[in-house]
Amino acid sequence: MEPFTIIVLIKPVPDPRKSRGSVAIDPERKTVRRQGVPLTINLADRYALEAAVALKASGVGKVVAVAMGPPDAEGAAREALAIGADEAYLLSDRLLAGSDAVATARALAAACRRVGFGAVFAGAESSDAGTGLVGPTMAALLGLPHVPHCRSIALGDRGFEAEVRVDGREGRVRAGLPALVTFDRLDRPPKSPGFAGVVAARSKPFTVWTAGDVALRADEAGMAGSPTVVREVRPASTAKRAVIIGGDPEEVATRVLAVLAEKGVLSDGR
Amino acid sequence: MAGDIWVMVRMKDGKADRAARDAMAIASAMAARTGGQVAAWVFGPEGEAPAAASEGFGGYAPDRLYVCPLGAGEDGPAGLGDALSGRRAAVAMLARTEVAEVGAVLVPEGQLALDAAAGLAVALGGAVVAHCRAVEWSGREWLYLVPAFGGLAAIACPGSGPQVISLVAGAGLVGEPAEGRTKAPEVIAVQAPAPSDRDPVVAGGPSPVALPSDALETARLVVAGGMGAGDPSGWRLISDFAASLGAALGATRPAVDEGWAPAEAMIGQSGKRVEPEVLISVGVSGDLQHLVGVGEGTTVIAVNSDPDAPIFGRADHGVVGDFRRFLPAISRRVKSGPADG
Ligand SMILES: Cc1cc2nc3c(=O)[nH]c(=O)nc-3n(C[C@H](O)[C@H](O)[C@H](O)COP(=O)(O)OP(=O)(O)OC[C@H]3O[C@@H](n4cnc5c(N)ncnc54)[C@H](O)[C@@H]3O)c2cc1C
Repeated sequence: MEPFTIIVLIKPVPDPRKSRGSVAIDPERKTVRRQGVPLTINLADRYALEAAVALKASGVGKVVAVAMGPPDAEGAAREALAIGADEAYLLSDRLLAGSDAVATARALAAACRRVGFGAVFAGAESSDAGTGLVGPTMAALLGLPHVPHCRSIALGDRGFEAEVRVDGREGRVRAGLPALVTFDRLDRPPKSPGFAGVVAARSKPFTVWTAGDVALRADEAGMAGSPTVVREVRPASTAKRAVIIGGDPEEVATRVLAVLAEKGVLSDGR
Repeated sequence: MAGDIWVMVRMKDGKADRAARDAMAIASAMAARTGGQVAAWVFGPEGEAPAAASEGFGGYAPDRLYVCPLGAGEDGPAGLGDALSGRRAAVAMLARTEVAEVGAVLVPEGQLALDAAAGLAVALGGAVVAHCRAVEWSGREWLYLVPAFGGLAAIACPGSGPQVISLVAGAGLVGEPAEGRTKAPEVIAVQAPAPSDRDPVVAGGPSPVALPSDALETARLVVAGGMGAGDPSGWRLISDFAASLGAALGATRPAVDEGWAPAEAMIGQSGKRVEPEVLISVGVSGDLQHLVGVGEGTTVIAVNSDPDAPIFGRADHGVVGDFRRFLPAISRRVKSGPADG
């Protein structure tokens, strides 16, 4: 097989450990206001990136990270370089603000076409918007087979062979090239860039693209290009339904055990 | 929005699943406004599907019932091949959009449906919404309510293309239900589109298996811990508490992010859906993105130090206070035998 390029889509998301409670909603745009919140690579995307970098040993020519986000997402794109991507692109343009899943997929698909690829890898779901729609929508836009919820992947002479978990079933799946593969978050910590990686990243190509650079028209991008709009955000209901069990711990224990006994869920049948 | 309302039906054990009934009720209300028809799409074996499906429609029969034998024969009905056939499902449906104008397509959240939803939305220039938990008529347009930002975002699709909506389990209609529909549907057999090199295929090797439902999904008693645990020692206390009750241990996403619990233990939108008899929720705020993973039939007991925590809006019984004060007393009492109080 000829060496080919794997594009890995990297979503810069608010760092979940640093942003808890500090993410606000923009009352105008009804989107998450990310200013001032440190951005990092979405967790599932890290496994996609690791898988792509690991495939370089089996003849993948190049791993290219593509991100879309505000200018301060540069750090996340550079982190991808430190983890092992060879080049990184950040698609960053005011025109793209407020993009829904379809508009985001359209913009990223345009960037992928410009880069050129043999495969596109992405996380199955982002930790912030979390629609899980961008991967499948891009597969439809680019006319690619979609290998969903991948947990490990290898390259054979007939394309990818992947272990997947979908709709409560598990098995091995094969797909020819070019293909789009979405990755799940896994139960092991993702690799963090080593010191050598960070140093190497400094000399790797990093490019910022505008919507125009990937031939995206204004009416295809951002809110104008999004077929969905958020009309309002309703706060969680504050209505109370729980009957409060008061008293000291012993009294509470008695009442809680009474509920468990009534429902018959204690192992000895009490 | 104008036109017909389509519903993608997922079959389970030879019958339409619960989600199909919820979707048909919503579709009927939508069709009542557009004046269009309701069409159900069953992707399953030809012979048995119509009868099996109509049983699951809960008094909301479709006008048309399309039956398309997709996935069957590849690795058996409802095998992994099914879940991977989303693109082909979209192709089968697209072929019928020439005869019908489609206003909305309701799909049950899942992989087959998600790929079909994306395929339809792209091909028809429509909108797609995931994780919808309620559908509401605003007086002007349909709103799809999706958990977001600690509350519910009301999403509209103002364009003229079809609105493809992925419904979570238990999704409902806000407002008046539509009148029941009992007329037997016209059954239309649709050929499955041939697989192409654009479809991933099930590879050889060990044959695909249904993941065994794990302890968390089958347990009758679940303890779910959250960020209120505070630190690993707090988490250990919660986990010991679960063990003392013989309960399975679940977690919120932040508790998984902290590394206290494995990703397999995550309950909610990005994790598992559980429906035990009783769930004891400890140090969990009760965000919707977590609560969509807890079945309606579950009795919830919540322990939270904040009397205004949203979890008390879902819980049946609440304990307000530091879990460290209360859990050990409960564990002790279980160990010491039948309660005498
Ligand atoms: C796209 C997306 C998908 C998501 N999917 C999921 C999902 O699948 N599952 C999920 O769980 N979350 C999910 N989330 C996250 C979700 O929005 C909430 O942030 C999360 O559920 C909150 O977790 P928590 O209740 O553990 O933490 P917090 O919200 O921080 O709540 C901690 C609670 O503990 C209480 N507490 C503190 N100390 C004590 C004490 N000593 N004793 C008793 N109580 C105490 C506090 O009063 C508080 O109510 C998702 C979010 C997004 C954006």
